[in-house]
Amino acid sequence: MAILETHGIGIHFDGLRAVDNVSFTAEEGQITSIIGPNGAGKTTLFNLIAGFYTPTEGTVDFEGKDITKLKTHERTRLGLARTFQNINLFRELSVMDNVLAGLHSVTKCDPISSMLNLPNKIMEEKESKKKVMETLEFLNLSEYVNEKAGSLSYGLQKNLEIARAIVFRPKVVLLDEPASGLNTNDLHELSQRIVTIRDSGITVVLIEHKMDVVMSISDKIIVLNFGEKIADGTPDEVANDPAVIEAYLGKDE
Amino acid sequence: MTLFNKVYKATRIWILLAVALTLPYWVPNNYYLQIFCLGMIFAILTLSLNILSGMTGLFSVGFIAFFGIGAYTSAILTTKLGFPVPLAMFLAGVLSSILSLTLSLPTMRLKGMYFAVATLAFGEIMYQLFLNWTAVTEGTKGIKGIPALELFGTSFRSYSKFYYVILVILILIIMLARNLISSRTGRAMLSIRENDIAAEAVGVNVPQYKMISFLISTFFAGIAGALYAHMVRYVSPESFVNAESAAVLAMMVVGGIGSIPGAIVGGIGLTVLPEFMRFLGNIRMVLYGASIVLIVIFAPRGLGGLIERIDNILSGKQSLGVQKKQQHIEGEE
Amino acid sequence: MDFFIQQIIQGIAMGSLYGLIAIGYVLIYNAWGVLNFAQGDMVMIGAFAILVTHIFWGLPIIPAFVVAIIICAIVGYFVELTSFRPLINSSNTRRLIATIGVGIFLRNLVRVIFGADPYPFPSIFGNTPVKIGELTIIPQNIWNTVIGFVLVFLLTVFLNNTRLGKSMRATAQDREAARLMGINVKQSMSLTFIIASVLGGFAGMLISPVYFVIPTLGTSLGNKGFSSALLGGITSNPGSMIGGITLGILEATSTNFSTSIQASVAYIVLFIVLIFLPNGLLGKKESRKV
Repeated sequence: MAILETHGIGIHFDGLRAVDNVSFTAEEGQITSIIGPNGAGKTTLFNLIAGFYTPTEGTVDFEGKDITKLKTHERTRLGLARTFQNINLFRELSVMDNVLAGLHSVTKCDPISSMLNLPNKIMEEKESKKKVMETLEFLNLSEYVNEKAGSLSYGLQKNLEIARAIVFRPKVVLLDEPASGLNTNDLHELSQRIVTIRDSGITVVLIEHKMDVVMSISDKIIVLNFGEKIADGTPDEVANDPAVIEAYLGKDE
Repeated sequence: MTLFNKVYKATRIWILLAVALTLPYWVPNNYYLQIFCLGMIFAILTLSLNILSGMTGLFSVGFIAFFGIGAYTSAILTTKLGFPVPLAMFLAGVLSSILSLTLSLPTMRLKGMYFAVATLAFGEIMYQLFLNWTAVTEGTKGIKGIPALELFGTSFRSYSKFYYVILVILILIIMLARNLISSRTGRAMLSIRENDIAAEAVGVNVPQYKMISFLISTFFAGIAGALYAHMVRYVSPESFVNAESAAVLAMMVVGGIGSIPGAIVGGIGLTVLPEFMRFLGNIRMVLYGASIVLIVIFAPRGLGGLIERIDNILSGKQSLGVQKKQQHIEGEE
Repeated sequence: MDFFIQQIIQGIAMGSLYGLIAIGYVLIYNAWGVLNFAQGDMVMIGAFAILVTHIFWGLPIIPAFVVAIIICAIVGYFVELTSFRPLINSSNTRRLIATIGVGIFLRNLVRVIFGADPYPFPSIFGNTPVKIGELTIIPQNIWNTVIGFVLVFLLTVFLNNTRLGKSMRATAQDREAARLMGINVKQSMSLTFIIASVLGGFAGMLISPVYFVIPTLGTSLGNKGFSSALLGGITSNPGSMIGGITLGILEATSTNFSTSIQASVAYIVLFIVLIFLPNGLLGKKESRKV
């Protein structure tokens, strides 16, 4: 079943078409990857799906419902999480607080109980911290729990982004180039992790440049070029698609 | 950890409390006690501003307006409408909070400098209102004869008694602010300060939480204003000129942005110090300006950062000279 | 009707001075990325500088102006060196507070030296009103407007047509790129600061016959200056001039409704502009980056 769909979605900035008429579906429980050369509009597509940009045309459906008009935080509440390519952590906050913040959309405590330390707050905090520790464990971040996010190494920050995005068990997580800046060993670990995330029931939509990662774990691949979708299919189908080869290698004349 | 560290850690809060409780008995005279009370009221105000600016990153340069609204509300309710003082003080907080919506709702989209300037404009408009709405505020004449607080048959007219009222409210607000920091609401505010894009991504309704931050901080600011009105028992517009907003900002920064102990030290320190420097005459304000610049340059985390460092050394968490990781709500760079 | 036109002329004259102050804010904001809350105090410094050179030292008006400008430049450079340069890599909050601190410092230093009492300053351009048809205009109003516009024109020419001006613009646009192009960024930024200070000071010199010269002169004028800057979109110099004149006219004509409202006009306008035109009258919309 398609959990996330776009229908002819597009946006232009100052006359430049960043994304043009892109339709794709992400099936529930799968890893769907979006690839394409630099500037193909991949991150823009993510921003459209997550609600950071308002499309100039087309719609986004989530679990069969049109969410095009919803704001980012409302989409998150529905179970649509994301990470950022250029890392947007809460740098001065601890690793713990970063991931706790990730639970915002599934926790309830109101400002008054927050300030008065009412029992419902204490309970919720306790449960939240437990969830955070589990997630940190999964991403090998447990030992950094009290460190400031901004003081972590680049690779760890990338992991922390993922932790913050999946801690509330979203239905879909959009991962924007989680492998950039990682070495070969880490790459393997990352691939394993993404598969584990999928297997735990979270649908993954992935933007990635590292082709070995994409080819080994994707269930389906969408290829963008100059803002338009030029191919989609299984890794094998896409790898043999002439249009894709042309986009990546340039046309031999 | 040495024995000294352990003893220090176990007793520090009690020592502090003992000092606070006995203060009126060893302060040399009433005048100094009055200044100290005023300092504590400004500590509350600085703490309020810290919720807005330190935690949520909404930089206000017109914050004194809410202090003024609180002071005038309580003054008017008690002198003209005969409200009991405690109720009037509470309503002062409520009205300050409600009026904050007239600032927060339309300026939700503004960022950084633009927002700061909007708060400045708001502060000036409020000041003009205090000054010109003579039917209600008595204009430049001010409101005289504001009653002192009376509770359970005791009058808190003398500074040595009113001191305890301020102390209790200060401690209460410190506790509320501490609880807030480690809560869902507080983290939402911190996340807005840190990175509003990421805040949205984790599901924080950014405008809503900015508004909540405003409501909370201006409620406390209003209470602080009411405390001021019932301590001095006279309010007039010049106590709420925009230069006072700059003074509160200075208290926050000198104390250390986002730091609770810093807000206390900044608020009390910058109120008491100029008084102690009175013998210097006009030079003291020159030194005051210069020291703000110096502290900003040389002590980026303010006095609060310094206090925490000493505290860490005394309690053995940190050895001399080594900078360890900082408490998470500190710093904003 | 004539009365109304006279008010407008009055507004334009005052507004050109607001515009000059506003340009100071804009220059510093663009080069340093911070709103300089001490800019109003530079206006005050300018007023005291001309007071000292013209009245206390008895210099004729032109040399008095020249020396006063040099004083403003020196004070501006001092402010830059002590309160801006050391914080160049700090957060906006801290830099903003430093500008507040240096403003308090200047204001009170002047008060220590000259006292808090107001000094009157004679009219520079004479008091004989000029008659144009039915209108009576005070020479000062004409001169302030003319000088304001001439200065903006000169500044624009300087920024667009000289090597130094171009480096200043490049630095304001992108400090790193300017450095790579071989521009002396440090020098450009200092120069920007000094020019901004002198413009503010110049406004103070022109204003001194209108207001009394007192240490707190800059507080409200500073606020009006950056209200104008914001009104003009904070990014452009001509915009600031238009912002200043708009504000000047609004203030001058608001007395028709209520005299007590005049003091608040700047702020009410500012508040409304911020809400409905967050990028000023001429500013461009910034697109959001994710």
